[in-house]
Amino acid sequence: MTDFKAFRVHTIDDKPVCRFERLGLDDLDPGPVVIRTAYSAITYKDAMAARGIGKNVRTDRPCVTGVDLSGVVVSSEDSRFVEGQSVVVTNYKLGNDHDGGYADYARVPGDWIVPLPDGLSLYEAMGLGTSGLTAALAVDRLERAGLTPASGPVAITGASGGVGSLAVDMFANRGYEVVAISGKREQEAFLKRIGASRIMSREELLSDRAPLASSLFAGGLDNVGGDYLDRLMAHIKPHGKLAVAGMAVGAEITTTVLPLVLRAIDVLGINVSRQLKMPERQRLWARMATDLKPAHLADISRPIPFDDLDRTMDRFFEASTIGRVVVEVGSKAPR
Amino acid sequence: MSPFKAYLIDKADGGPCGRWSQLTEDSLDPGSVTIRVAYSSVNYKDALAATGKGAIVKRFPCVGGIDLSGTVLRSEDPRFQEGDRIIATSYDIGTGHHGGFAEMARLPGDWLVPLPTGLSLFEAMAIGTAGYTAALGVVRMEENGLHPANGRIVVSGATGGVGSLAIDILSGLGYAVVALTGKEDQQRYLQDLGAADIMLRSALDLSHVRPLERALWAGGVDNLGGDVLAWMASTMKQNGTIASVGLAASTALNTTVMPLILRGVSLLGVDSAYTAMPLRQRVWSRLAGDMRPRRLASITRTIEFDALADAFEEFVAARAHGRVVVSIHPEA
Repeated sequence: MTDFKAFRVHTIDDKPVCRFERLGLDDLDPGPVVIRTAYSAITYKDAMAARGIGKNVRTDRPCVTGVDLSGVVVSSEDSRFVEGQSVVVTNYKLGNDHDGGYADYARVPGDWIVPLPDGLSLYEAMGLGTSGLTAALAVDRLERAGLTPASGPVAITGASGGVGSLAVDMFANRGYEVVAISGKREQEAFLKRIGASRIMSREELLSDRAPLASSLFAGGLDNVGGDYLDRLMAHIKPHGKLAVAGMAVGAEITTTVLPLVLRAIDVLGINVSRQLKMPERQRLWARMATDLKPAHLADISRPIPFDDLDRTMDRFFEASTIGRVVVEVGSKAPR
Repeated sequence: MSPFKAYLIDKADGGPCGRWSQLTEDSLDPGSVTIRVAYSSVNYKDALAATGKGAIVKRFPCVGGIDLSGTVLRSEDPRFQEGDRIIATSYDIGTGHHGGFAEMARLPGDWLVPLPTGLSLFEAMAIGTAGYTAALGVVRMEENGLHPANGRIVVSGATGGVGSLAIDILSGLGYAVVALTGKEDQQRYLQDLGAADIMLRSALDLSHVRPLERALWAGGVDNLGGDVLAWMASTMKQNGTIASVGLAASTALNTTVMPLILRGVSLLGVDSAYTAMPLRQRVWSRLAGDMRPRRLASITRTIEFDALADAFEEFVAARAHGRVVVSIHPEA
């Protein structure tokens, strides 16, 4: 095999240096299944790794980043996978401590691989990726806890981001009244197009400071943490349920137990890291290919050429990115 | 119509305060079922209500007592007949509707749970709102995936009514329970209830809790709120579940999202007051069956109706532990 293109993060003098390079297969972290990457994506984690924010990538040696990939098996020493099979890999150590999706090839352990479910293309799988899995797990857990469209409106913070926009679509598609909470007024048309019934501004959400504020939402998904999470908890109706998946604004929560003790709300943590067991992962991917498949995935996801990867990362910090950014890694992969 | 004895909470110059009174049946609040009260109980909430230490009572005057068990005297509700034995807890009982600290009560049929087979009227009040709350918390944690094989469970406010019954119920279901208490002299009591281990509050430095501490617990029952709940969140294992049932220490919750998003921890709010009736009946039937407390005799103390006021003082001073049953018309 000839050499191929890869995007790696090197740590030089404690600072990340991103480079497009030519690598051979043996330069990649080993794994029994070799995959020709079709698509990857940019998640917030990838952007943080590329810009040295947080500790999201190994620093002792370079790492091909990209925490999500879809592609086709080239060879496998794992009997569960065969040449030509379409697969998806997200999470585990991929793209932070094991060479990831930003390369024409990847070598990964079979235990990390989900066979691409019927009903999704390799492109669509990356339109979903870690963000889709997070949104799907949130819908799944909230409904298992008893939430139904009849319970009342569902609020989604960070609604124009990857997890948020996919969740808006998934909930709306299931018949929920979705209130999209977004600081970006200019995104109103986009959010309505993908299913939001109503847009609530940041100011409107944060205005009522009472520990038990007016009961507005039967359910919610928070992607931003901080004050937003505190106010969402305060606005959840009695016996309502809130999923928490992110911390774009801040990790700290200053709130009260009153919504828990007096309104019996549930706050459910959503974690799709390696701790999410493979049978659960496969079940959620199967749902994303069927009943949870977003109706507006083409609107929510947007392809960029592999060469544009580095310059696109910065937009994540300006918070100007909407939806999911899919990276065209392998050439001529089918949409 | 003969008068009967009731403990009435009324407004006085210094705030709400309790007094003995003679009532007649026609002075009771409307309801379709009239009940001869056998037992009531004293919860922390009752003590706060009767002493005016908490803004619990919504209407004055109001017969206190948020719990009662007894026998139906008359019913206009087809679901209940004379002689039926019932349990009534929460809703507006004892806070906005004349409650259990009286020889007689009149309640809406929708608030009544038929006494499940396997429990006596006395045992039902030894359990009461506190035990129902503990059981509801456990049921909800199990519905969220908690299982004895997942690991140890920590219970805060362990010597209180909810805490004591949570330890008893959880250990009976096969969980390894660690009791967190500030009361060093109660360790023997907690062991008798089934606690596998005791952790003293004084051994914890709650002022320096990191977002993710060493993962210790598969589950937690918190009666305190504040720093203890924040510590519990930081020490939960992957997919751990906390039932937040009380705020005896603080209403504040200052923590981080790290346990939620990196360990998949769940915080389940538990409110015994307005549980939907099908779930309420299911919890009570489990309390009479597989979740039946095994140490009710150690947990419970019985007092005569006349001794009620003394019990309130013990609760407010945090000297009380376990459960206090008020004997009104005891069953033979």
